[in-house]
Amino acid sequence: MKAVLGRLRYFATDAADEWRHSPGVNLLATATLAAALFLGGSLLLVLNNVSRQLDRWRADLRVQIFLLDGVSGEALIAIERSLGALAEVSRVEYIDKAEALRRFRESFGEPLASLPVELETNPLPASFDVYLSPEADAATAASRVEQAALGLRGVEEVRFDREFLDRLRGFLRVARVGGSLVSLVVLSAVALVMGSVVRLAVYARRDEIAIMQLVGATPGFVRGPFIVAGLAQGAVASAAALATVEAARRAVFAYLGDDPAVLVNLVAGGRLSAIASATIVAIGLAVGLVGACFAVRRAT
Amino acid sequence: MNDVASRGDGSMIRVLNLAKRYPGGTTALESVNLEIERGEFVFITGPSGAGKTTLLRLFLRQELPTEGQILVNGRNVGALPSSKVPDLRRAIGVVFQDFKLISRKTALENVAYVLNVAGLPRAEQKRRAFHALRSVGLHHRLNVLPPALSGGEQQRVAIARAVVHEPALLLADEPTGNLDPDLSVEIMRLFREINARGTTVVVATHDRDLVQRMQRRVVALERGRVVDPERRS
Repeated sequence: MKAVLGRLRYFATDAADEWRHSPGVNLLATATLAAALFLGGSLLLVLNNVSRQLDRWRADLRVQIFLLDGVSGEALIAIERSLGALAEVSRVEYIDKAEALRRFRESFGEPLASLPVELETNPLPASFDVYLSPEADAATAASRVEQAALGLRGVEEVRFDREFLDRLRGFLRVARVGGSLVSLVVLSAVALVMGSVVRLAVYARRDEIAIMQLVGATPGFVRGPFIVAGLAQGAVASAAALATVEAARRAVFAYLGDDPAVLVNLVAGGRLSAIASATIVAIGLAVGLVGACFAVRRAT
Repeated sequence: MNDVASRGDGSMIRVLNLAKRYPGGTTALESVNLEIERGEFVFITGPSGAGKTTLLRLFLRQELPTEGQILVNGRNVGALPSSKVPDLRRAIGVVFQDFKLISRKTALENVAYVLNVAGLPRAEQKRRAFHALRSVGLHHRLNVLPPALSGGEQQRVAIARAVVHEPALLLADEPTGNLDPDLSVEIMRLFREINARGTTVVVATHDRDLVQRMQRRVVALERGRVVDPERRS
């Protein structure tokens, strides 16, 4: 154990020593990785925010089932049970006539709020708000709920925004495919650039590696400091990238003031999530590690 | 391939029918037979291209022979698995014409590196490296980086590195090639002292004056073959 710790300490001090003596190559490697991770982080930030917004929209997706006046209690229970049992439905909320009126007033304010009073009766029907499960395809789920509801006793009308659901479906498809493609391109670029930079670093130390091998260093002993240096570069680069992504996000909002454009809010309204940040750090460490292993393996 | 020698006999190096040919038809060594006893001091001489460096590279398993066997301290070098090559090299001290010091490490760190590779504790590495540098008269230059040392000093650091782990065999490839005559004599004096402590020393050089002055056994190579040193062209 003591020997292993001693060896790890040597790897760490040798990596730090090498960093001090060749700051140019190491800074280049770290800056390149940080730049690539910044791009990846920015992409994740946009995907994160778009995803959050989509989730909010999807959580609000509902089909309104309007009821005939005077529906019996048993019929209400039967409707609620039938709709709640559908796999595409996350929850069902009953809105009685009084609640419908309250919401109407809240939504429209003056002068429309006084309209029901002027009519001296509440013309708004009771209804069920059927919220769709976020996992389900919204348009398909809404159609299924509509079909199920129209066959139930006491249901007068089913309404949902078909156009909005179609748009949302298209938007989700673009976000998924586009995000995956851009992620793939960015990751490939990161891997290629890092491979080249690490090879450059190993090439710069090829004489030193040859000397180490000549005096009896095992491949593992030669590779150790490179691997530690690769991990350190990955850690520093990912930390720098995360800090820069957040700084850039804040700078955009500081520049736009209190009233940023809707699109900016949509793509950069929230911070990078903890999972996305951890992903960036993991990618940084993995690229640093794999790049170092790959490059030094060829040299040893 | 069977070993024809075993550990414990008098040979430090035994070379049997050795040939080294490169793709394209270049022959570096041909039908070389050679035996170097433990504790011997041997010069391998010959003009440039005679095969001296190739022979030393084969001893160190930097290259593999095309034919024949090389036994170093009882180990069949050509048949060693790659994983055992570091063990072989750790048992040999090496000195090169171009010193081959790690430029970002101090003199002390360069010497201690061999002990680090061998897994010695740090304090022991430093203690032994200091003694090795003192034995070559460089204990006042411990923390100097190689580029700040003169050629003679760099070669003395390389010698300290080669002997710090007390190897049974020291190989030196043109160790005085980059040094002036006075420094060459100084380096040879160090080799003689190392040899006097029981280490087998093999020095490849084309410097005939140096060889004559040292009065040691000479193995002469010419066009890849061992020849009688007296009849060398």
